[in-house]
Amino acid sequence: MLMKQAKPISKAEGELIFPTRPFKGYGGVILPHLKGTENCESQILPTPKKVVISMQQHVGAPCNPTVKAGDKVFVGQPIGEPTSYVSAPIHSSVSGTVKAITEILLTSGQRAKAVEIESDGEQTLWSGIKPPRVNNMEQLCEAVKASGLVGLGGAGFPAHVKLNVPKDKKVDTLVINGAECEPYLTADYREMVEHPDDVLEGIYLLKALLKVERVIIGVESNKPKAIKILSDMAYNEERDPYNHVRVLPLKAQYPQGAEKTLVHACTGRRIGKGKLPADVGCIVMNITSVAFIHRYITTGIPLVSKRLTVDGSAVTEPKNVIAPIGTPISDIIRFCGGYKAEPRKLLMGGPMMGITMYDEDTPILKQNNGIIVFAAESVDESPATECIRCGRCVAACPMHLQPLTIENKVTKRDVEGLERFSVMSCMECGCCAFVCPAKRKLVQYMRMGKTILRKAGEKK
Amino acid sequence: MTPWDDDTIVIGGASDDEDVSFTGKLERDPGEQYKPVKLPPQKEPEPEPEKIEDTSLTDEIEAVIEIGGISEDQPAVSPQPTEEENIPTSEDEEDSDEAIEESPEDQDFQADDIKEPSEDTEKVQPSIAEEKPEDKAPENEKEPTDKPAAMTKREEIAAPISLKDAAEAESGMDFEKNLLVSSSPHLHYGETTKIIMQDVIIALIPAAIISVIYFGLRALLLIALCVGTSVLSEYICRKIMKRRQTIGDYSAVVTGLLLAFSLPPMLNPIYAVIGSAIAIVVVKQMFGGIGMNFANPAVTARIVLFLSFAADMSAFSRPFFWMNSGIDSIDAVSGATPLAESSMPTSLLELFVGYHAGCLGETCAIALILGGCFLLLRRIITWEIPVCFIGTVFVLSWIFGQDPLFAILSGGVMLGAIFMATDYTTSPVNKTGKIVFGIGCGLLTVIIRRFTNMPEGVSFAILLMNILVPHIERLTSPKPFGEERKAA
Repeated sequence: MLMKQAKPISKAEGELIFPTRPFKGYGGVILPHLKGTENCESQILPTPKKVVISMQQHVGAPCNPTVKAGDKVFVGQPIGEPTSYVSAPIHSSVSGTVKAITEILLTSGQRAKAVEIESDGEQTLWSGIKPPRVNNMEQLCEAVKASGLVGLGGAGFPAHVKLNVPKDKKVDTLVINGAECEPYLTADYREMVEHPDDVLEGIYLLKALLKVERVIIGVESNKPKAIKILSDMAYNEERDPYNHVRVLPLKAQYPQGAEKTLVHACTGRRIGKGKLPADVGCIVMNITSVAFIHRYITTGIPLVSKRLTVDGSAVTEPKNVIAPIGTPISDIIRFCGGYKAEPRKLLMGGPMMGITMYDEDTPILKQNNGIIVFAAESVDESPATECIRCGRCVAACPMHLQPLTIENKVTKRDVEGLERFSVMSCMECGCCAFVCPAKRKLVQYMRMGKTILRKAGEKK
Repeated sequence: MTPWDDDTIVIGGASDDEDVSFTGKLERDPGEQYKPVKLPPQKEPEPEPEKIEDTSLTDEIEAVIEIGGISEDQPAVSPQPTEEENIPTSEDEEDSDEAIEESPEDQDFQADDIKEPSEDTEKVQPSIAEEKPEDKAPENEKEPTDKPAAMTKREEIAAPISLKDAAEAESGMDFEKNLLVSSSPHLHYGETTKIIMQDVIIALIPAAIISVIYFGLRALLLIALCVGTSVLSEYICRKIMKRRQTIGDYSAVVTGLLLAFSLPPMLNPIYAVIGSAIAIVVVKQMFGGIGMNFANPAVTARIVLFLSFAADMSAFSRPFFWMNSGIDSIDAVSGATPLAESSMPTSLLELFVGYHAGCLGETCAIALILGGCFLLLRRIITWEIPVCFIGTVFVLSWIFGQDPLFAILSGGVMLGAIFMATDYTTSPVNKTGKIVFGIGCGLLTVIIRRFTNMPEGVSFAILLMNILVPHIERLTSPKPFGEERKAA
């Protein structure tokens, strides 16, 4: 009575097939889209008076600041050098003077150094900026590393590590993540609608350098305009004569944009626990990252600004804003007309996986996609009641886990049970807590479970 | 020369001979978003006429309105530190001496006067604003909070791209920041335990109505007693245990209803009270309350009553006995249900509609199926348990030589499969487990009916399967995404 797995659609020797419908995955929830800002043209934020650029803006070790207080910096000048392989350099996003090297508190509870720069409003480019020379994969990885690119979909994984595929893994598919499944967020959508040429040029570049023959751009079906624009542009006889770049409309379900569910929906391949997309022959890039790669190759300007969606019931004018990295959130909200009601929750990210902030002057990071501010009426503060074992969490989990059982094991501190129920596969998407009738904080239990397992692993 | 001045861009350097060389002409400036956006000089965009009306009141009159509380209809605070607000205010400052004495109606004349210069929409008036920057701050502080009822609704205008003076900008930001920090996710579907139980009650209403029609006020008495006792005993029990009061989630009501539906109409009301109390206190609360019981409370209570008062629990009445000649009639207590050999219903229709002797809620299959469809539509229950349970009874009865339709429409199969076996706490949480559970219940029901003297197998089958649920769950837990072996 076991469910049969869908077979992956590419054979070792055969040709790659382009699916016309996405593969059906487990679980997921249908959320209200709330894409009120999808028609808001991105506006460039006027240069803030000061920016605070954290040295930990990516997955991996934090960077070391290479400037000191009193130095004059320009836009695009490197101010943080990576200290390990999984790390990305950090560049100044404004021109001005370094005020101080301070320490800020990150959302994970750690402390990291930060460079506080007072801007002079001129936005002078650094003299060392020049477009890189990219002719093969090694040069591309070098260039991408120098640009400071991290996963712009919110994950923050250094892109050059992702693109530097080990020799023993064969990659045959490039999956472009244009899903943007979180409600409210429209930053990737605006990238697709405003700069589809950047997106496609970036794709052609990656496709040629990676030597892949299948590129699937996954876009959720609640973005018909973007699907049409990208499909029309992708159907380009001279650049892509064999039609290897295609757009796949995905089901508008959360979490369609997560890496594992996206690869499965586009190719039918399942990424194992603890494995990477490269292990199943795929590379996943966010659509904004791809467009950025093209812009970097042509202009040489590294990652210094980011498009964010500002929305929520407490923001006066929701819109899409292009802001320099390190801008305090309060400046961005002020640009959007300030609050129209007392803010109760300030989120960095989308409402399902976003992190709440307690300080509205927190600076934005490279991987932030959105700032959502909820007024009290949108915030549910009811307490958790007893679990009734309804099984909605099990039905909703995209990773096919049993959150209620894991919660039980966490309460009992049962390490063996946590191992058996694969708590490390949890991607903390929040589908389980979203549907729970008892309003239990399931994601917190999952996080605790992971911590318990890690500690137990360290002890051994 | 900046990098983006040259619009013929060659990637990879001019003279490389590697296989990749793009020569793409870009129609659009790729460096556009990196160009600096400066703060523009403090120039005023054109003001709108309505704005002037809004702000034609002076400080004094605004203060009066604020104190007098006239502005009940003021719209929600929308602090827009737009330049448009400032122009009429600052213009107002010049006229403030005359305006103090005037009434609001007279303000309109003044508004018209002020309107004229601003109708040259192209012209901007930098001088006025710059003359009185210090007045802007207090004006702005007041404006968002004072909107007299007579004024028209302010239109939303997109703010121009410029950061204002700190004092003006703060008006949009001067809320008290009582920010809550909590774990993701920050949205919720909206369905709670209470809503689920309410839906179950709604699904049981057709069967309740039919039972009152068939069995008269006696049915109503039993239902009321069972529900009342359940709720009361849960209340008292939780109070004694010093735990959170849970009668608000209506699960006790559902238990009472289901137990009442399993009782024969002429049962001694005291037995109904005892059964309800046992269901809630012993089976549910003693094990930890909702979500922690190991067996279905209503099913277990029914079994306890059956074992304690076997004769009374087997004495069923024919429908409409109360109409014929009241409670003392011969029909009141007739004996066995159709499952026993002696009294068979005459037709399949009678079975569907429930026109035969039986327990309160078990007889009318139509009403129960209706309720079940409602629950399926509302996604309260899933199809696995009812379909597998009923299907197994159907198939196995057929194999054993009985009329399969008769088998599924008589006894408590419909009620048990749709409402009792699907109880969340006592059924498996995953899909495969539910299928196994449903088939097991059906199997046990048929075995008990066929091979034992028991008149009714459903409640024992459900109880035995409830006990097996933890083992079923362990054996059928879902394989996590991407893993090779099934989790044991």
